[in-house]
Amino acid sequence: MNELTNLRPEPPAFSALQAARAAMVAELGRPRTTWKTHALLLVAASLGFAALIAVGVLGSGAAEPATLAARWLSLAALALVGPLLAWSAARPGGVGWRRGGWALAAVSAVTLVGTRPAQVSSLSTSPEWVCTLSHLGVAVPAMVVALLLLRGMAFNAGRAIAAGLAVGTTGALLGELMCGRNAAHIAVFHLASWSLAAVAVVALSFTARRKSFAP
Amino acid sequence: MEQFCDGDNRALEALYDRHAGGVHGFLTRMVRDRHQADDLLQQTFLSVVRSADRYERGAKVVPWLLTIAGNAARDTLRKKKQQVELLMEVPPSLEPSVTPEHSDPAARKLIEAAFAALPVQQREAVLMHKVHGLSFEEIARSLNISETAARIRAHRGYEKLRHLLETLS
Repeated sequence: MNELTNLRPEPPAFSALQAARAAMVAELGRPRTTWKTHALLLVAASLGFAALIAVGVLGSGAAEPATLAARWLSLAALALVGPLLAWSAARPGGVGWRRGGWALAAVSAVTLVGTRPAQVSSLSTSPEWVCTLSHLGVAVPAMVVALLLLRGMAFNAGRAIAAGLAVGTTGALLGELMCGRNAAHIAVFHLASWSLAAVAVVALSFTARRKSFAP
Repeated sequence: MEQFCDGDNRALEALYDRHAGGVHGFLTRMVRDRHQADDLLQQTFLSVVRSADRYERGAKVVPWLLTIAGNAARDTLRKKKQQVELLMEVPPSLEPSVTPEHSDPAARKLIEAAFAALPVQQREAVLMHKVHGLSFEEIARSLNISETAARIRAHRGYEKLRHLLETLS
Protein backbone atom coordinates (compact mmCIF):
# COMPACT_ATOMS: atom_id res chain seq x y z
CA MET A 1 0.00 0.00 0.00
CA ASN A 2 3.01 2.28 0.36
CA GLU A 3 3.17 2.63 -3.42
CA LEU A 4 0.25 5.01 -3.10
CA THR A 5 2.35 7.67 -1.41
CA ASN A 6 4.72 7.58 -4.38
CA LEU A 7 1.98 8.41 -6.83
CA ARG A 8 2.60 11.82 -8.27
CA PRO A 9 -0.15 13.50 -10.32
CA GLU A 10 0.58 13.71 -14.00
CA PRO A 11 0.64 17.44 -14.76
CA PRO A 12 -2.51 18.72 -16.45
CA ALA A 13 -2.27 20.06 -19.98
CA PHE A 14 -0.82 23.56 -20.08
CA SER A 15 -3.83 24.86 -22.00
CA ALA A 16 -6.21 23.51 -19.32
CA LEU A 17 -4.19 25.19 -16.58
CA GLN A 18 -4.14 28.46 -18.50
CA ALA A 19 -7.88 28.32 -19.19
CA ALA A 20 -8.69 27.71 -15.52
CA ARG A 21 -6.34 30.48 -14.46
CA ALA A 22 -7.85 32.93 -16.97
CA ALA A 23 -11.36 32.10 -15.76
CA MET A 24 -10.26 32.61 -12.15
CA VAL A 25 -8.63 35.97 -12.91
CA ALA A 26 -11.71 37.12 -14.84
CA GLU A 27 -13.88 36.15 -11.87
CA LEU A 28 -11.81 38.40 -9.61
CA GLY A 29 -13.20 41.41 -11.45
CA ARG A 30 -16.83 40.47 -10.86
CA PRO A 31 -18.83 41.67 -7.86
CA ARG A 32 -19.30 39.12 -5.09
CA THR A 33 -22.07 38.82 -2.52
CA THR A 34 -20.99 37.77 0.95
CA TRP A 35 -22.80 35.12 2.96
CA LYS A 36 -23.85 37.80 5.48
CA THR A 37 -25.57 39.78 2.73
CA HIS A 38 -27.37 36.63 1.56
CA ALA A 39 -28.48 35.87 5.12
CA LEU A 40 -29.79 39.42 5.60
CA LEU A 41 -31.62 39.25 2.26
CA LEU A 42 -33.29 36.02 3.36
CA VAL A 43 -34.34 37.61 6.66
CA ALA A 44 -35.69 40.61 4.75
CA ALA A 45 -37.58 38.38 2.31
CA SER A 46 -39.22 36.33 5.08
CA LEU A 47 -39.51 38.46 8.21
CA GLY A 48 -39.57 41.77 6.31
CA PHE A 49 -42.29 40.55 3.98
CA ALA A 50 -44.34 39.28 6.93
CA ALA A 51 -43.90 42.67 8.64
CA LEU A 52 -45.24 44.39 5.52
CA ILE A 53 -48.24 42.07 5.57
CA ALA A 54 -48.77 42.88 9.26
CA VAL A 55 -48.80 46.61 8.52
CA GLY A 56 -51.28 46.02 5.69
CA VAL A 57 -53.50 43.80 7.82
CA LEU A 58 -53.59 46.24 10.71
CA GLY A 59 -54.02 49.24 8.40
CA SER A 60 -56.96 47.68 6.60
CA GLY A 61 -58.60 46.57 9.82
CA ALA A 62 -58.49 42.89 8.81
CA ALA A 63 -57.01 42.12 12.21
CA GLU A 64 -57.43 43.71 15.61
CA PRO A 65 -54.32 44.89 17.47
CA ALA A 66 -55.76 43.12 20.51
CA THR A 67 -55.78 39.79 18.64
CA LEU A 68 -52.15 40.21 17.62
CA ALA A 69 -51.23 41.21 21.16
CA ALA A 70 -52.83 38.01 22.42
CA ARG A 71 -50.56 36.03 20.06
CA TRP A 72 -47.38 37.82 21.08
CA LEU A 73 -45.68 34.60 22.18
CA SER A 74 -46.00 32.74 18.89
CA LEU A 75 -45.24 35.90 16.88
CA ALA A 76 -42.11 36.50 18.96
CA ALA A 77 -41.02 32.87 18.58
CA LEU A 78 -41.37 33.07 14.79
CA ALA A 79 -39.67 36.47 14.61
CA LEU A 80 -36.73 34.97 16.51
CA VAL A 81 -36.48 31.61 14.79
CA GLY A 82 -36.66 32.92 11.19
CA PRO A 83 -33.51 35.05 11.35
CA LEU A 84 -31.70 32.40 13.41
CA LEU A 85 -32.43 29.75 10.79
CA ALA A 86 -31.44 32.08 7.94
CA TRP A 87 -28.17 32.90 9.70
CA SER A 88 -27.42 29.26 10.46
CA ALA A 89 -28.11 28.26 6.85
CA ALA A 90 -25.65 30.79 5.47
CA ARG A 91 -22.92 30.82 8.10
CA PRO A 92 -19.72 28.86 7.27
CA GLY A 93 -19.48 25.91 9.67
CA GLY A 94 -22.32 26.70 12.01
CA VAL A 95 -23.47 23.19 12.86
CA GLY A 96 -24.32 24.30 16.40
CA TRP A 97 -26.29 27.27 15.10
CA ARG A 98 -28.29 24.99 12.84
CA ARG A 99 -29.07 22.55 15.63
CA GLY A 100 -30.19 25.49 17.76
CA GLY A 101 -32.33 26.76 14.88
CA TRP A 102 -34.00 23.38 14.34
CA ALA A 103 -34.69 23.02 18.06
CA LEU A 104 -36.17 26.50 18.25
CA ALA A 105 -38.26 25.80 15.14
CA ALA A 106 -39.70 22.73 16.88
CA VAL A 107 -40.43 24.79 19.99
CA SER A 108 -42.07 27.46 17.82
CA ALA A 109 -44.26 24.86 16.10
CA VAL A 110 -45.42 23.57 19.47
CA THR A 111 -46.05 27.15 20.59
CA LEU A 112 -48.15 27.91 17.50
CA VAL A 113 -50.42 24.96 18.24
CA GLY A 114 -50.33 25.19 22.03
CA THR A 115 -51.32 28.84 22.24
CA ARG A 116 -54.48 28.35 20.16
CA PRO A 117 -57.70 27.24 21.85
CA ALA A 118 -58.97 23.76 21.02
CA GLN A 119 -62.41 25.06 20.07
CA VAL A 120 -63.01 28.28 18.15
CA SER A 121 -66.17 29.37 16.43
CA SER A 122 -64.35 30.69 13.36
CA LEU A 123 -66.17 33.11 11.10
CA SER A 124 -64.21 31.93 8.07
CA THR A 125 -66.08 29.95 5.44
CA SER A 126 -63.15 29.29 3.14
CA PRO A 127 -61.73 25.73 2.89
CA GLU A 128 -58.99 25.01 5.38
CA TRP A 129 -56.39 24.19 2.72
CA VAL A 130 -56.55 27.82 1.56
CA CYS A 131 -54.30 28.59 4.53
CA THR A 132 -51.69 26.06 3.36
CA LEU A 133 -51.78 27.38 -0.18
CA SER A 134 -51.62 31.06 0.78
CA HIS A 135 -48.77 30.43 3.21
CA LEU A 136 -46.78 28.76 0.43
CA GLY A 137 -47.63 31.66 -1.86
CA VAL A 138 -46.26 34.34 0.44
CA ALA A 139 -43.12 32.23 0.95
CA VAL A 140 -42.19 32.34 -2.75
CA PRO A 141 -39.98 35.49 -2.59
CA ALA A 142 -38.10 34.10 0.42
CA MET A 143 -37.77 30.77 -1.39
CA VAL A 144 -36.11 32.46 -4.37
CA VAL A 145 -33.66 34.23 -2.07
CA ALA A 146 -32.95 31.00 -0.18
CA LEU A 147 -32.20 29.16 -3.41
CA LEU A 148 -29.83 31.92 -4.53
CA LEU A 149 -28.09 31.62 -1.17
CA LEU A 150 -27.84 27.83 -1.35
CA ARG A 151 -26.52 27.91 -4.91
CA GLY A 152 -23.48 29.74 -3.59
CA MET A 153 -22.22 26.70 -1.68
CA ALA A 154 -22.01 22.93 -1.96
CA PHE A 155 -25.23 21.05 -1.23
CA ASN A 156 -25.67 20.37 2.46
CA ALA A 157 -28.96 18.92 3.65
CA GLY A 158 -28.70 20.59 7.07
CA ARG A 159 -28.26 24.04 5.53
CA ALA A 160 -31.07 23.41 3.06
CA ILE A 161 -33.44 22.35 5.85
CA ALA A 162 -32.53 25.43 7.90
CA ALA A 163 -33.07 27.72 4.90
CA GLY A 164 -36.34 25.96 4.08
CA LEU A 165 -37.61 26.36 7.62
CA ALA A 166 -36.60 30.04 7.53
CA VAL A 167 -38.64 30.40 4.32
CA GLY A 168 -41.60 28.66 5.97
CA THR A 169 -41.73 31.16 8.83
CA THR A 170 -43.17 33.74 6.40
CA GLY A 171 -46.36 31.70 5.96
CA ALA A 172 -46.47 30.79 9.64
CA LEU A 173 -46.35 34.49 10.53
CA LEU A 174 -49.15 35.18 8.05
CA GLY A 175 -51.18 32.48 9.79
CA GLU A 176 -50.68 34.10 13.17
CA LEU A 177 -51.69 37.48 11.74
CA MET A 178 -54.77 36.46 9.82
CA CYS A 179 -56.10 33.06 10.81
CA GLY A 180 -58.53 32.66 13.69
CA ARG A 181 -59.04 28.91 13.54
CA ASN A 182 -58.35 26.35 16.26
CA ALA A 183 -55.29 24.36 17.33
CA ALA A 184 -56.10 21.32 15.18
CA HIS A 185 -56.24 23.51 12.07
CA ILE A 186 -52.87 25.08 12.94
CA ALA A 187 -51.33 21.65 13.59
CA VAL A 188 -52.46 20.27 10.24
CA PHE A 189 -52.77 23.09 7.72
CA HIS A 190 -50.26 25.68 8.97
CA LEU A 191 -47.50 23.29 9.96
CA ALA A 192 -48.04 21.44 6.67
CA SER A 193 -47.22 24.56 4.70
CA TRP A 194 -44.17 25.20 6.89
CA SER A 195 -42.94 21.65 6.27
CA LEU A 196 -43.75 21.78 2.55
CA ALA A 197 -41.77 25.00 2.17
CA ALA A 198 -38.77 23.32 3.81
CA VAL A 199 -39.10 20.19 1.65
CA ALA A 200 -39.42 22.31 -1.51
CA VAL A 201 -36.26 24.26 -0.69
CA VAL A 202 -34.30 21.07 0.03
CA ALA A 203 -35.46 19.43 -3.21
CA LEU A 204 -34.89 22.50 -5.38
CA SER A 205 -31.49 23.28 -3.89
CA PHE A 206 -30.41 19.65 -4.38
CA THR A 207 -31.04 19.89 -8.11
CA ALA A 208 -29.94 23.51 -8.60
CA ARG A 209 -26.87 24.27 -10.67
CA ARG A 210 -24.24 25.49 -8.23
CA LYS A 211 -22.23 28.69 -8.50
CA SER A 212 -19.76 27.52 -5.90
CA PHE A 213 -18.80 24.23 -4.29
CA ALA A 214 -17.35 25.73 -1.12
CA PRO A 215 -18.63 24.11 2.11
CA MET B 1 -5.37 32.34 1.16
CA GLU B 2 -5.55 34.85 4.00
CA GLN B 3 -3.63 37.39 1.89
CA PHE B 4 -6.18 36.89 -0.87
CA CYS B 5 -9.01 37.37 1.63
CA ASP B 6 -7.30 40.65 2.57
CA GLY B 7 -7.52 41.78 -1.06
CA ASP B 8 -4.21 40.62 -2.54
CA ASN B 9 -5.18 39.03 -5.86
CA ARG B 10 -1.58 38.07 -6.67
CA ALA B 11 -1.63 35.80 -3.62
CA LEU B 12 -4.46 33.86 -5.24
CA GLU B 13 -2.44 33.42 -8.44
CA ALA B 14 0.50 32.15 -6.37
CA LEU B 15 -1.89 29.77 -4.60
CA TYR B 16 -3.13 28.57 -7.97
CA ASP B 17 0.39 27.99 -9.29
CA ARG B 18 1.30 26.00 -6.21
CA HIS B 19 -1.79 23.82 -5.89
CA ALA B 20 -3.52 23.57 -9.28
CA GLY B 21 -1.52 20.48 -10.29
CA GLY B 22 -2.30 18.61 -7.08
CA VAL B 23 -5.98 19.52 -7.22
CA HIS B 24 -6.12 18.40 -10.84
CA GLY B 25 -4.56 15.04 -9.93
CA PHE B 26 -7.12 14.58 -7.16
CA LEU B 27 -9.96 15.45 -9.53
CA THR B 28 -8.67 13.15 -12.26
CA ARG B 29 -8.65 10.21 -9.88
CA MET B 30 -12.07 11.15 -8.56
CA VAL B 31 -13.89 11.44 -11.89
CA ARG B 32 -11.56 9.22 -13.98
CA ASP B 33 -11.70 11.64 -16.90
CA ARG B 34 -8.97 14.19 -17.58
CA HIS B 35 -11.17 16.53 -19.60
CA GLN B 36 -13.82 16.54 -16.92
CA ALA B 37 -11.07 17.15 -14.37
CA ASP B 38 -10.00 20.20 -16.41
CA ASP B 39 -13.51 21.65 -16.11
CA LEU B 40 -13.70 20.80 -12.43
CA LEU B 41 -10.34 22.45 -11.78
CA GLN B 42 -11.83 25.63 -13.18
CA GLN B 43 -14.98 25.18 -11.07
CA THR B 44 -12.84 24.64 -7.98
CA PHE B 45 -10.85 27.84 -8.33
CA LEU B 46 -13.93 29.83 -9.38
CA SER B 47 -15.50 28.60 -6.13
CA VAL B 48 -12.41 29.75 -4.22
CA VAL B 49 -12.87 33.26 -5.63
CA ARG B 50 -16.65 33.36 -5.22
CA SER B 51 -16.61 31.96 -1.70
CA ALA B 52 -13.50 33.58 -0.27
CA ASP B 53 -15.61 34.85 2.63
CA ARG B 54 -16.46 31.25 3.57
CA TYR B 55 -12.81 30.37 4.19
CA GLU B 56 -12.07 30.14 7.91
CA ARG B 57 -8.94 32.09 8.69
CA GLY B 58 -6.18 29.95 10.10
CA ALA B 59 -7.44 26.79 8.38
CA LYS B 60 -5.04 24.85 6.15
CA VAL B 61 -5.40 25.63 2.46
CA VAL B 62 -4.98 22.12 0.99
CA PRO B 63 -7.93 20.58 2.90
CA TRP B 64 -10.02 23.62 1.90
CA LEU B 65 -9.16 23.18 -1.78
CA LEU B 66 -9.73 19.41 -1.68
CA THR B 67 -13.06 19.91 0.07
CA ILE B 68 -14.22 22.20 -2.74
CA ALA B 69 -12.77 19.91 -5.41
CA GLY B 70 -14.38 16.87 -3.78
CA ASN B 71 -17.77 18.58 -3.63
CA ALA B 72 -17.51 19.54 -7.30
CA ALA B 73 -16.43 16.03 -8.30
CA ARG B 74 -19.23 14.35 -6.33
CA ASP B 75 -21.78 16.73 -7.85
CA THR B 76 -20.55 15.84 -11.34
CA LEU B 77 -20.53 12.11 -10.61
CA ARG B 78 -24.03 12.29 -9.20
CA LYS B 79 -25.37 14.24 -12.14
CA LYS B 80 -23.78 11.97 -14.70
CA LYS B 81 -24.65 8.88 -12.75
CA GLN B 82 -21.08 7.73 -12.89
CA GLN B 83 -21.11 6.04 -9.52
CA VAL B 84 -18.29 3.59 -9.80
CA GLU B 85 -19.22 -0.08 -9.85
CA LEU B 86 -17.09 -2.44 -7.88
CA LEU B 87 -14.40 -4.80 -9.09
CA MET B 88 -14.20 -5.79 -12.74
CA GLU B 89 -16.21 -2.96 -14.22
CA VAL B 90 -13.14 -0.82 -14.77
CA PRO B 91 -13.15 0.44 -18.37
CA PRO B 92 -10.26 -1.15 -20.22
CA SER B 93 -9.46 2.14 -21.96
CA LEU B 94 -8.88 3.97 -18.68
CA GLU B 95 -5.94 6.30 -19.13
CA PRO B 96 -3.41 6.37 -16.33
CA SER B 97 -3.56 9.69 -14.52
CA VAL B 98 -0.65 9.31 -12.14
CA THR B 99 3.03 8.77 -12.56
CA PRO B 100 4.72 6.69 -9.90
CA GLU B 101 8.20 7.70 -9.02
CA HIS B 102 9.60 4.35 -8.03
CA SER B 103 7.43 1.71 -9.62
CA ASP B 104 7.11 0.14 -13.04
CA PRO B 105 4.36 0.89 -15.58
CA ALA B 106 2.60 -2.40 -14.97
CA ALA B 107 2.32 -1.71 -11.26
CA ARG B 108 1.10 1.79 -12.03
CA LYS B 109 -1.67 0.46 -14.24
CA LEU B 110 -2.60 -2.03 -11.59
CA ILE B 111 -2.88 0.62 -8.91
CA GLU B 112 -4.82 2.89 -11.25
CA ALA B 113 -7.29 0.15 -12.06
CA ALA B 114 -7.71 -0.70 -8.38
CA PHE B 115 -8.19 2.97 -7.51
CA ALA B 116 -10.76 3.42 -10.23
CA ALA B 117 -12.73 0.42 -8.99
CA LEU B 118 -13.14 1.83 -5.49
CA PRO B 119 -16.53 3.33 -4.58
CA VAL B 120 -16.27 7.10 -4.84
CA GLN B 121 -16.56 7.77 -1.09
CA GLN B 122 -13.78 5.34 -0.21
CA ARG B 123 -11.61 6.55 -3.09
CA GLU B 124 -11.97 10.12 -1.89
CA ALA B 125 -11.01 9.21 1.68
CA VAL B 126 -7.99 7.14 0.57
CA LEU B 127 -6.81 9.88 -1.81
CA MET B 128 -7.09 12.56 0.83
CA HIS B 129 -5.36 10.45 3.47
CA LYS B 130 -2.64 8.58 1.66
CA VAL B 131 -1.88 10.69 -1.39
CA HIS B 132 -2.52 14.22 -0.09
CA GLY B 133 -1.57 13.56 3.53
CA LEU B 134 -4.69 14.91 5.24
CA SER B 135 -5.40 13.82 8.79
CA PHE B 136 -8.63 11.98 9.59
CA GLU B 137 -9.81 15.07 11.44
CA GLU B 138 -9.27 17.16 8.30
CA ILE B 139 -10.96 14.53 6.11
CA ALA B 140 -13.92 14.42 8.50
CA ARG B 141 -14.31 18.20 8.37
CA SER B 142 -13.92 18.20 4.62
CA LEU B 143 -16.55 15.53 4.03
CA ASN B 144 -18.86 16.76 6.78
CA ILE B 145 -18.75 13.43 8.59
CA SER B 146 -17.42 12.26 11.96
CA GLU B 147 -13.75 11.39 12.40
CA THR B 148 -14.75 7.77 13.06
CA ALA B 149 -16.69 7.66 9.80
CA ALA B 150 -13.68 9.07 7.95
CA ARG B 151 -11.44 6.37 9.47
CA ILE B 152 -13.94 3.66 8.53
CA ARG B 153 -14.22 4.91 4.93
CA ALA B 154 -10.46 5.02 4.49
CA HIS B 155 -10.00 1.67 6.22
CA ARG B 156 -12.61 0.02 3.97
CA GLY B 157 -10.97 1.66 0.98
CA TYR B 158 -7.59 0.25 1.94
CA GLU B 159 -9.08 -3.19 2.50
CA LYS B 160 -10.80 -3.09 -0.86
CA LEU B 161 -7.67 -1.79 -2.59
CA ARG B 162 -5.63 -4.63 -1.10
CA HIS B 163 -8.21 -7.14 -2.26
CA LEU B 164 -8.41 -5.58 -5.73
CA LEU B 165 -4.64 -5.48 -6.12
CA GLU B 166 -4.47 -9.16 -5.23
CA THR B 167 -7.29 -9.98 -7.65
CA LEU B 168 -5.99 -7.87 -10.50
CA SER B 169 -2.43 -9.12 -10.17
